[in-house]
Amino acid sequence: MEDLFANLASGLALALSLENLVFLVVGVCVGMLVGLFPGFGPAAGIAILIPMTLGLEPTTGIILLAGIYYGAMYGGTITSILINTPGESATVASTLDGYPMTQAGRAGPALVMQAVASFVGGAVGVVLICAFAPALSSFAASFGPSEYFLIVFLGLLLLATLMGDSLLKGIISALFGFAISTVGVDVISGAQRFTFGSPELIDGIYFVPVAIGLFGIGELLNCIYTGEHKKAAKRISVTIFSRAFWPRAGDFRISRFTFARGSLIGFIAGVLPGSGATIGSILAYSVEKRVARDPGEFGKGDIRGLVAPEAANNAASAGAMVPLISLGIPGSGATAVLLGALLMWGLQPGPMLIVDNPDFVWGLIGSMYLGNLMLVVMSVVAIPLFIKFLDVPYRLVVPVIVTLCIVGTFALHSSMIETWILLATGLLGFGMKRFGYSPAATVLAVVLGGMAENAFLQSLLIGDGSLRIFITRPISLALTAVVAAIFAAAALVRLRALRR
Amino acid sequence: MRFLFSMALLAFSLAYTGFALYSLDLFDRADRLGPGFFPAIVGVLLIATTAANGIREYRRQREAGTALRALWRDVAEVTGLIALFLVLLPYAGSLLTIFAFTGLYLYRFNRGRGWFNAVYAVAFSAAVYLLFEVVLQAGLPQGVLAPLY
Repeated sequence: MEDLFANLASGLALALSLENLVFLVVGVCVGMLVGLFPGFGPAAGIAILIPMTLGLEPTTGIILLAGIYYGAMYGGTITSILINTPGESATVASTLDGYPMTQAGRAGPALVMQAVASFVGGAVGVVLICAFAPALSSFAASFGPSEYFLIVFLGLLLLATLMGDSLLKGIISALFGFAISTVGVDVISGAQRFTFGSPELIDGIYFVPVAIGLFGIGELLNCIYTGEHKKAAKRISVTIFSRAFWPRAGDFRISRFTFARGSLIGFIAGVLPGSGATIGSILAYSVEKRVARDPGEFGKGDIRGLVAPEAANNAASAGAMVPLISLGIPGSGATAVLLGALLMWGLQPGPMLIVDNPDFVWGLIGSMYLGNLMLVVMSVVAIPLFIKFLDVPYRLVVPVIVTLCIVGTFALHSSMIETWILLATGLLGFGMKRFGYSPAATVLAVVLGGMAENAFLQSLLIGDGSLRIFITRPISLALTAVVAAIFAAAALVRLRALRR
Repeated sequence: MRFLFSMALLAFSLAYTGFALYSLDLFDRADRLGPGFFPAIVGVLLIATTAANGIREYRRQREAGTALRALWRDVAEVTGLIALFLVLLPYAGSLLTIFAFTGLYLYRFNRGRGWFNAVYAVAFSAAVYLLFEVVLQAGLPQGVLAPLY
């Protein structure tokens, strides 16, 4: 326990250095802006801005990107509450009671309560990271290739199950990611695969252009398709100097247990690979409605219906860091992009990350405390300023997004091929988004594809070519059982649907 | 369009798997797992899943009928402009390309505001140039303006 506090103190000290503090402020501000634009989630924001972190120290870089990650969660809620347009899928549940509050003339209390709930969720999440990440790292140190392969497989399966239209489309999305990850030199034999004689493809297809394409260009084309560029700007004004802006004591009293329930549910959902903030926030809302004595009030502007998903989605953002830090396995699209950034900086995520790079991990955790504190202040005091950005019509933002995507991708390796990969994956991402596939599963598979292939082949080598290795080790057996249960449940659901 | 997309995925799967089986060995000379083993598994699974998905989408399309939306044209135009950006970038350089892209895009999608569009295009391309070339020294293509640098 003493170690924990000492590590946390050193992490906070690191995060408080002037350079890191500046990048933390930049990160949370950019994150809030990213969250304000419809359809643009943290994954897109992080992916587009990764090239700008190339020259930074890894700790400073991750502080910037993590700031964008949870800043986007805050920003996404503002549009959910004010104009019934979630900036991010994890804030969809916040529209259910947030927007009715605005309609009832209570936009101010809704914005303040979401900021407080997000802060509580984020802070509880960070406390739980401190408790769980080191413990999970120690446990994971005994994992072999078969366990690693099964965890990657389980994460992708959960993501495929929970996101997109169907399990089948989720699996196709993940398989495409695996296919992309096989381009380049095979690490075992040294043979070139799918390079077509191009020296630029020998090192494989880098994940950043793929992530920027799928999330950045793909989302942009989807927004064009849905006519965002033709809509007029939304003029909204909010002042913090009015008494009506602030919540009443009764708002806090009625939702005092909601903060805790939402945070806990969100954190658990975040830790589970593939689940994440979207599932966490919807689950927290459902639980809150179920335990309420007056569930009929939900959907009509009940403050508990806003606090629960807000606490949950920020706790989930923190929770998703646990498998990333301790296992090297991201639980969502955004953390998959973060994982790719770690690899780009030469860090190897996994059980040894916290041992080999304690400054990095504890600096990140320390910055999350500070970031949450900063965001709650900014969410309240600077809300009128951020709302001003809603005055900018989407059609004027398009050139900025396109240019940042292309120039950012080119700046990585000065490669024109990567910019064309960006456009190709952008079109793929647009189709995936339109027709119910899961771009997040594709990015996760691209990032983890090499590791999954190596773990799979090593497992077969250890098991003399037999798949029995996946059921003979106790942890592998448990993971295989979970995978089998998911497939069985999916088959059962399909069977029932066919009978009807 | 939904069905066409699923067919495009199936076509990619067939091409990927065919190429993997044709050009990569499943096992090496010592009978160990070769470079084509994992791609072959991925490819076979891709063909199976995208084919099943294609059948499902075909049935769905027949039930729902086809409905093309007018905004496909806007998507195609923006995609064309992005492709033009990529074609111009190595030859015209980053500054001129960003100016041209922004100007053409605004001319098409922000009609009737000529002066604003011109100022926006100039200011934005200059800002990106300053950020990436001067501050971040990203080494963007200079193109025809190279003699001036």
